[in-house]
Amino acid sequence: MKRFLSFLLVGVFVFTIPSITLGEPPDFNGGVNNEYEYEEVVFVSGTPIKFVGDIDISKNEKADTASISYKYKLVPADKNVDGSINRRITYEIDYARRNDKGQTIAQTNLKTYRETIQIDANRYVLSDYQISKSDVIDNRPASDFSSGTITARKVYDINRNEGKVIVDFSGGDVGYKNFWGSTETQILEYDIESESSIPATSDSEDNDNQDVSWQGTVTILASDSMNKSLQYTDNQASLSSFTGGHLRLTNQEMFSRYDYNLPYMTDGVPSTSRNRGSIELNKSMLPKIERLLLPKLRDIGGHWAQDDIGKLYSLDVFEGNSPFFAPDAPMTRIEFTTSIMKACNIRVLMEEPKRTSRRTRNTQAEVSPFKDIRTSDENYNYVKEAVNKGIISGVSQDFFMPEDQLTRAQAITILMRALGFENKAPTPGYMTSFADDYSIPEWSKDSFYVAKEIGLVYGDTANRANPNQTMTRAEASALIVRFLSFLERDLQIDYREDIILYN
Amino acid sequence: MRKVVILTISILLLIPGLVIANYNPFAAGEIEGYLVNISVTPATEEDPQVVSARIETYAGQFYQIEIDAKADLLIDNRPITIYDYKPGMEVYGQLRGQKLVTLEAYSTANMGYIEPGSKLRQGVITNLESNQLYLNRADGQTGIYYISPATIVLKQGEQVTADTLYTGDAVKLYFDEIDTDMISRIEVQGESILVKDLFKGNLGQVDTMKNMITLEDVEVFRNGSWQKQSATLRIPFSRDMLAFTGSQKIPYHNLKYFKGKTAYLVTKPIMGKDVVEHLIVKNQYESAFTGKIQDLNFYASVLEIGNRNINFYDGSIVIKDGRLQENTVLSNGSDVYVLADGRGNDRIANLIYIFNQGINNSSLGQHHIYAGRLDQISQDNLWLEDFFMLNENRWESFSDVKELFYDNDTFIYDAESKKLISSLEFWAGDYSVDEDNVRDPKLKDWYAYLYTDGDRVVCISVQKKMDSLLGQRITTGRVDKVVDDSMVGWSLILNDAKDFSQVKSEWMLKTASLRLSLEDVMIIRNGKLINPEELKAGEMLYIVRDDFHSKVVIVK
Repeated sequence: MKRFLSFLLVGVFVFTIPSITLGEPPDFNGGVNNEYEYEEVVFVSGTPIKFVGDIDISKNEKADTASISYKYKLVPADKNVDGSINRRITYEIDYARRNDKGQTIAQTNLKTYRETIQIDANRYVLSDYQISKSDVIDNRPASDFSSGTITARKVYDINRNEGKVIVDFSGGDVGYKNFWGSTETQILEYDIESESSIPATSDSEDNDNQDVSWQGTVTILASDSMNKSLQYTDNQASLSSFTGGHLRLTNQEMFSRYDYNLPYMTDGVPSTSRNRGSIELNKSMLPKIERLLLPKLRDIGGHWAQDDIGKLYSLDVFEGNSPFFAPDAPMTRIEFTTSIMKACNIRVLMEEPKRTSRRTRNTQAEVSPFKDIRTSDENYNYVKEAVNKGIISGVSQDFFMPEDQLTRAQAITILMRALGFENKAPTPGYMTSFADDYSIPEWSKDSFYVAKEIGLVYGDTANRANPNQTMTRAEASALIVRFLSFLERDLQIDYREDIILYN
Repeated sequence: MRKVVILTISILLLIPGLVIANYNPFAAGEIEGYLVNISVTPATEEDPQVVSARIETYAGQFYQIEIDAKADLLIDNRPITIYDYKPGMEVYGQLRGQKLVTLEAYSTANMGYIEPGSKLRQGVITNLESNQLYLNRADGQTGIYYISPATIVLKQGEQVTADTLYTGDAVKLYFDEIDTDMISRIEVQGESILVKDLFKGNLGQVDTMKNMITLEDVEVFRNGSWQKQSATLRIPFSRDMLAFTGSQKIPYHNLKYFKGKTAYLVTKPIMGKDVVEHLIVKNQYESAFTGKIQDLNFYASVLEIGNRNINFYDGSIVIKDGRLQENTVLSNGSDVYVLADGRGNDRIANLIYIFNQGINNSSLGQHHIYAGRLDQISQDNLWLEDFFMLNENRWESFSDVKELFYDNDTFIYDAESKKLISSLEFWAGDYSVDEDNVRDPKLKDWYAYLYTDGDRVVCISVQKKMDSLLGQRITTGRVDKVVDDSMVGWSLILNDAKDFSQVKSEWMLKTASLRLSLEDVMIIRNGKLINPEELKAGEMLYIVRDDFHSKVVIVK
C-alpha cells in the first residue's frame, strides 16, 4: 500500500479557510452592494449625489500576499443628473505572520488606480491617489480580531485645467472573523477641498473666469456583516419520520451612513450657508440556507436543554448513533474539548495512522502531548490541536485526564482561551463579583471574570459561580450554544450596531 | 538574681539572630528572597532534565534548589512556565525534601488594575434620580450607577450634558476602575432609539429567513387616530423583537400561525431601515381610552382610567418621550392614551402612550423658561422685574426681581433686528434703561424670553414689547416638516401634537397636524440656538406659542 498523507478537514461543516481580506465593506467610499446592485454617494461636486450601478470585486489570495481589485461602473440614481463613474482600483496586501505570537500584520499598498467622474458638464479625473493602511489581526482559536488604521489622499483634476478637488481621508476599521460570523466596520473622516475657476455668470460685468473654492467634511460609517444563525423549522407533514429540524441561515448585510457638512451650491458656486445632512444606504444579500442533520434522541424530549442539545446534534458536534444522550450525566473533559473544536469549526489536521511497514527507522513516531491520550485515539487530533492553540493545557504537565468529569471552571477556561479573552482580565490580585470567589481556582479566575463581563456566565440565585461543580451534558450543551451565539450575535452587535448607532 | 534576669534577657534577645544566622530552608520547608536565575540541565539518556532555581534569601544567602517536575509554578497566583520567571523577581518557595514543590513570584505593581474605560455596562435607563442612573442591563441584570461632574456624556459622538438623558435611552456606561459604580463616560444611542411609527394591520406573511413581515390593510397611528397608510407593507423585524398576544409571549417560530389576525407594530429607524421592535397581536376586541391615570397598582398591574380598570403587562407597549419604556415609568396623574384589548371589565393594555412632557427630561435638569422686563443689565448679570416663570406648563407671575447671569456663551437674539448680538452689545445697548432719568424719553426697557440652566441664561430673545402671556399655550409634538413659506416665512408642521389645558391641567391630544410659524422664535437644541432649517423631521419639540406664532421651541 502506498504511503500517503491525506489532509482532511474534520466535521460536517463547509469549511472556509480563515483569511484576512481587505475591502469589506468594498473599498473606502461607503458604498454598499448586494448580488445585483452597488450604490454610493459622491461629494466631489459639493452636492451629495447618489450613484448606482455595477461593482466587480476580484480577490487573489496567496500565502503571504493578497490582491483585491474593484471595478465600478455607476450612474446617478437621480435620472435628472447627467453623470457617470468609471473606477478601477487594485490594492495589494502583504501579510507578516507572527505565528509565535498568533498575530498578523497586514500592510496595504495601492497597485493601480483609474477613476473618472462625470457630473453634468464637469469631469473629475483622479490624477493622484496615495494610501497608507495597516491592520493588526489577532488570530485566536475561535475567532480573528482585527483593527486597522488608514490615511489617504485623492486628487481630482476638474475639466483638465479648471481646478482640482483634494479629498483627504483618514480613519480606521475594526473587525472579527470566525466560522459563525464576520463583520468589518469602517469609520472614515473625509475632508474635501475644491478650487476651480468657472466661467463668469451672464450678469457679471467682466467676462473673466470666477475663482470658486469650497471646503466640506463627510464622516462615513460603513459596515459589512455576515452571520450564521440556527433556526428550527417544522415539518408540515404529520406522517413523517421526523417532526422538524434545524437549518443554518447565512445572512450578509451592508450598511453605510454619510454625515456631511457642505456648502449649499448654486450653479457650481457655494453659498455661505451650510448643507448639513445624513444619507443612509443599506443592501442585503439573499440568505443562504443549509439544512442540518435531524436530531433523533429519545431522552431529551421536554428537557430544559432540549433545544440546545438538538442544535448541537444537528451540527454533528456530538458523535455516535445512540438514541440516548443522557443529558443529566456528567460531561467529560475530552467530550467538551472536541465539542468546542467542532462547534467553532477550529480546523484540525487529520493525519492517517501510519500503518505501513515501509516506515523507516529514522521516522520518529509521533509523541502525544499527554501520557493518557494515545496518538491512535479517535479524538487525538482534536486534543493535539487544542494544545497547540493554547485552548487546553492538561491537569498536569503529562496528563489530560480525558474521562474526568468536566467542572465549570474548566469549561469556562476553555471557552475564554478559545476566544483569547483571558488577557482582558484585570491585573492579578482582584476579586470577582461572585459570592464564592474564594473557591474559584486561580488558573480560572481571569476566565470567570471576563466570562461574566461579556455575559457568558452568571451567578446562581445566590450569585455563586460554583466553579468546581461538575457540568452535566445538558449544561455543557447550553454553554456551548450560548458560546456560539456569542460568536454569531454578540460580536456582531458589538462591532456593528454598537458602533453605528452610538456614533 | 539580677544576673540571672540579665542573662535570660540577653539570651532571649540573641535567639532571633541565632535563628536567622542558622536559617536552613530545607529544614524550614520554605524559602523566600530574590530569584537569581533558573537553570535547565538538558536531559541525557541516563538522567532526565533538571530544572533548578538559584535564590538569594533576604538574609543574603544563596541556594541552588532543584524544582520538582510537578511543582506549582506561579507568578501572582497565576500558573506559568519556568521560562516566565525573570532574575530579580521576589519569590517564595515551598520545599519537600530537597526540591521546590511550589515557586511563586511576585510581579504585579498595580493589583486589580483595568484600562480606564474598559469596564462596560450596557442597557436602557429606567430611572434618573439626582445623580443616580438606574439601568436595565442588556444581560437581564439591573444596576444603579452614579453620575459625577466629571462624567462625560456623548450622544452620537457629540458631548452633551447629563440632563439631556431620558428614561428609555439606550446607553453604554464606561468605568475606569474594577469596583467602582461612578461612571466615567456615557455613550447615548442616537435617533435610532426613537419610535418611528406605530402600525396596525392584518398579519400577512412572516418570512423568518429574511426577517420580514407583510402587513395588510395598513393603518398608521397619527394625531391620535388610525389613518389609512397602504394596502400592504413589507417591513423587516429585529431578531430581538418582542411579540405578544393576550399578554402571552409568542414564540418566534409560531408567528406564522397568526396570519390574518390584527397586529400592532412599533418601528424604529435602525441602520437605514424602519425595523419592527415590538409586535402585539390583537386577541379580542379593541377599545381606546384617553385621560389621566387615576390610580395605579404595580402589584396587581392595573391602572385606572375613566373609572375603568385596565391590566398592563410586561409586553404592553409603553411610549413616553418618543421612546419605548418599561412600564415602571407609569405614574399616577399621567395623561395617557390607552389602546386596550378584551371585553367587558376584562381588558389588557396593549399600548400606553404617555403624553406628559416638561422642559426638563429628568430630575437632573434644572432648566427654566422666564419672561419679563429687563430691569437692569450689567456686564455679566441681569435683573428681570415682575417676571413670569413657566411652572408645570403654565406661566406663573412673580412681583419680584430675579437676578440671572449671562456670559460670552449665552446666545442673545434681538427679535426686532432679527440678529444675534454679542454679550457686549447686549450690555452696552439700550435694552435696559433707567426710564426716570433717560435723555431720550422714547427709550424704554425691553422685554425678554429667557431659557436658563439654573440661574445661568442659556438663550435670550429680546423684544421691545411684552407679549400677552395669557393667550399663550404649551404644545408638544413631533416635527413632520419645516418649510420656508413665501407668505409667512419659516413654518413648522407638527404631528401628534398635544396642548396643555390649563383648565383641566391635562395634555389634550390634537386630532390634526398643527402648523406654526417659526419667525422670530428662539429654537434651542442641546443648549444652543439653532435656525429653523436645522430642525429635522421626527424631532420632538416643546413649544411655547401664541396661537400660530411660536415663541420658544425646545428640541427634546
